[in-house]
Amino acid sequence: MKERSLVWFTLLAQASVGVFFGAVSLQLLAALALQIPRADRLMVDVRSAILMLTAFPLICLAFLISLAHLGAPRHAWKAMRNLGQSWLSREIVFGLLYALFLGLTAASYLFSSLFAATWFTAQAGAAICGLAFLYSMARVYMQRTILPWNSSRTLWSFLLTAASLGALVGALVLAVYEPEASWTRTAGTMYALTAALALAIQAFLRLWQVLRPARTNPLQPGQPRRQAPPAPRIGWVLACLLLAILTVLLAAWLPVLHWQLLLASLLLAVTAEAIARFGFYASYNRAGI
Amino acid sequence: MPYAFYFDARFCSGCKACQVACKDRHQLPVGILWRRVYEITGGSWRSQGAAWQQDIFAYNLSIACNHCAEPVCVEACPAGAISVRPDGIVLLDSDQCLGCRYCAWVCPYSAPQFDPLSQRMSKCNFCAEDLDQGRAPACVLACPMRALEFGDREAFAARHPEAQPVFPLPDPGLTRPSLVVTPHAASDHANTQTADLGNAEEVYQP
Repeated sequence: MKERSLVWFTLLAQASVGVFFGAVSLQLLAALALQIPRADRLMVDVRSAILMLTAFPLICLAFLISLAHLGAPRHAWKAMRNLGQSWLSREIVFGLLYALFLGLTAASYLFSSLFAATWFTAQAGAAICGLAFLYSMARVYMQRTILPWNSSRTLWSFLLTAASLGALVGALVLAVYEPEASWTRTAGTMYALTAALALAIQAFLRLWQVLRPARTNPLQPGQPRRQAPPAPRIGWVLACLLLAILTVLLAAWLPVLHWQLLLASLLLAVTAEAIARFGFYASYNRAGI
Repeated sequence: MPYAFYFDARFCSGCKACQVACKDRHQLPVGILWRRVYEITGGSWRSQGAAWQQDIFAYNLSIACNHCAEPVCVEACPAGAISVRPDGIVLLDSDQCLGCRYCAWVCPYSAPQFDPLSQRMSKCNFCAEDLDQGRAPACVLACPMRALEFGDREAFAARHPEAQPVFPLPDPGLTRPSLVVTPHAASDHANTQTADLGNAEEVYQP
């Protein structure tokens, strides 16, 4: 299985959706909760723009890398022809729509005079298509003949990757630009705590995977089942996740957001996710012969 | 009439004439096996006092695409390259294939095979073009033991009440394969603890 390109495709795509929702949540926080001075509203837009402009190249890179796992990349456009049945087709369509809407959103920030009218519609479209993209991506793997993957753990794992990476990038962007402003501090803390929670749940899911491994190869009635082999390098995954949680909580606890701590946490989280994702593909065990 | 294969494991000698006939008929390249003969082996020797006892067993399974009634490959293929004929034959159009190998991920019978030269997938097509002209599939014609037959799925099930799922084939409820198997007596002893595939390097693509 040519999984290397798929590992990076899924990680980059999930990070892109997470970062996008990080930008959207910043706008919602600013509008509803943070009591940001009118003079600072522009800074919210700038932070959102930076997050959008981070998310867009991530998804573009993800799709470019995904071509590497195809035997005939020049026929990649045909992957959208079985929307009625194939979750892979749906994943591609929703992913491309998400990228399109995200691109329009990013363009509306860069060229506001041209795209101001589309800003809200583009963001709404990107939000809906982004969620559909993540769900379809998980369903690609949740096939009835691949028992270790066919559980809600797959979907939760993908969603939590998006949440943790998106929240960490959001907190990092806020920490780089005027970290001492009170609203930046509040929003950054919320992002950091969200990232810590998502990483903690990821760590629990990995531990659960070790303690309660999936059963493989459903056989005929009366035949014994086998346990899935333990996830490779799970110790490294748990160690990186734990360190990422500790550094992000430290960053949230300190009076000023330190971008260095958040960057360290992000790198640890990406390392943990990459090792875990390789382990996910290594756990492939199809029923039958 | 939904076509199906009937395989009598009691008579299969593992000669692989079916496998070779298929390769010859469809000019398959090296490494591509639309029909594969699996050798299931198990058992061992145990000492009992001064004597040795053995419970060694072996049998063969000739498996191609089973043209399932609920083909998971059709649901999976993003390009719509896999379709089902009215007679139940599942066809893979290699020209429409992207080579993403998703069908190979999900098929529980390793039916779709990836050709590294063309970078596309291919699989058993039940010799559809021969069937349409009234001829039998090449594998059925080649079997010297008459262990392979083809015909109506329901008729086989009615004619062979002794047929049942055989290790290591998966739960037929997963994809409802159009395959009826009369098991070899040795398969009673076979399970994940006692048996193994004796020719994995021969039947699995690297």
